[in-house]
Amino acid sequence: MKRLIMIVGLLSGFLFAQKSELKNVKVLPYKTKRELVKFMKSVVAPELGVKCNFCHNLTDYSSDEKDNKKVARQMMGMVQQANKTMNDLNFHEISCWVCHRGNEHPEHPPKKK
Amino acid sequence: MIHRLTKYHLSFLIFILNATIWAIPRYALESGSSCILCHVNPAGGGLRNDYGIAYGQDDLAAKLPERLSNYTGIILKHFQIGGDVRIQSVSKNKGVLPDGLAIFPMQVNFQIKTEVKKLTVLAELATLKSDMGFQLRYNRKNGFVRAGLAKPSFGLKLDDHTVFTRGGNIRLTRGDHREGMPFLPTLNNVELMELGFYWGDNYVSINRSNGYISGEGSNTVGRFEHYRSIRSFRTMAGGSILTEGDLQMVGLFGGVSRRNLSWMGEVTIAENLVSGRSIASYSELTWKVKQGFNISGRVDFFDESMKYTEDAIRRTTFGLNYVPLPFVDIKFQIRSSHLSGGKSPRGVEVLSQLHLWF
Repeated sequence: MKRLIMIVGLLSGFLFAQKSELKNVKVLPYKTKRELVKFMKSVVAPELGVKCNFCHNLTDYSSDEKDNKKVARQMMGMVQQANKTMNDLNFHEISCWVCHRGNEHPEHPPKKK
Repeated sequence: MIHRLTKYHLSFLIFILNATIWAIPRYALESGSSCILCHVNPAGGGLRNDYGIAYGQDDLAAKLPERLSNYTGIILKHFQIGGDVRIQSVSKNKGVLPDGLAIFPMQVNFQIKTEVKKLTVLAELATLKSDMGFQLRYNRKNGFVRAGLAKPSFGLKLDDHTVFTRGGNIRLTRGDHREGMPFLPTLNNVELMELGFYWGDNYVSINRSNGYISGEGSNTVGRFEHYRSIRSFRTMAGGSILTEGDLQMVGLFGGVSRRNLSWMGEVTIAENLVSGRSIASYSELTWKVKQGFNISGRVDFFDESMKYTEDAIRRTTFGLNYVPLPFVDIKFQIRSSHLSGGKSPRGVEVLSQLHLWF
């Protein structure tokens, strides 16, 4: 009986499983986890030549414990700002690749003030 | 030709019903990261995390229907559920003639997960086996501490428990003491405590549990994994050691992947598994023909005693793997075993499996 209740409960849960909760997403515009993961996998990771663990705590992807994630968030904000300007000028949008070229750090970073 | 279930099939079925959960280490190799990239359980297998679900949708399946594209497994905002169902068929040939066909459920597992700040709680029910798994994990920046009912994580947890580096043949080919290492699917979860550390592309874990293989005493397992990308190559290498009473085991594993080709291998040596030293090895080459369709060839080997050469067994397997949709995995295998000492082979076996997961 307990097993039946558990199976029915799990299956009914499966029917309602479309609700998605994104945690601690502050800059990126995505509404589903799949969109977010796809962007990370196809844009951020290859354009910086890194794997997920460069920015994320693999036991909790939403955590901000790693400094690289905080920097990445600011960088993404910067790219979004730049793309607003690019759109106004009717230019192509840019991405991490423009500076990073597949490297963790750009080869020619701007000089510090 | 379908025969009635014979005594062989019934005994085989009873054993195989007690299936465990499996991970697919090749995906870890191709992704360049350890199992926790896709699975909630750091040891791999079972419930997938957000990345694992998206990976299954976008990277494994041949097609992604729109209605499945938003699946997350989240229910009631705080819980994630998942499950694995495997239905297996086995057909044996004697010479060129079919000798029997058995179709049976091999695994029906359900998992549920919730998170409370830095704690992850994961529960699992293996319904066919009536075995419960449970773990409470405290997550830290570069690792975790977990405790509960689980299986120690030794070697590559392959998706086929009959590989000789795992449990091997449950029904022995010729009545020897063992045909494979002791990781039989009949083993239950045990009380376990584990520390895991991640730094860069390395992963180390140490766990201690109650006796897992013999059911007596205590079991200690240490494990190391390293992932590295060199140009277009993805590589992994690792090792694990296990001690439980007199039994001592050492295993080395690794793999290389480039574009559509992947190779993985493992060698495990056990002291006092039977008497003296036993060795098992596994080597598999996989070609991803296109997304959702893979072809693989495998050779695995077991020698009960390294002193003598007449007690060895080698198995060659050719397999196809088709993932038509997310959450659906279909496998076909043809395999034959060869015995040392000129003894007659066991015949050709044809296996197929339908694996559904969510």
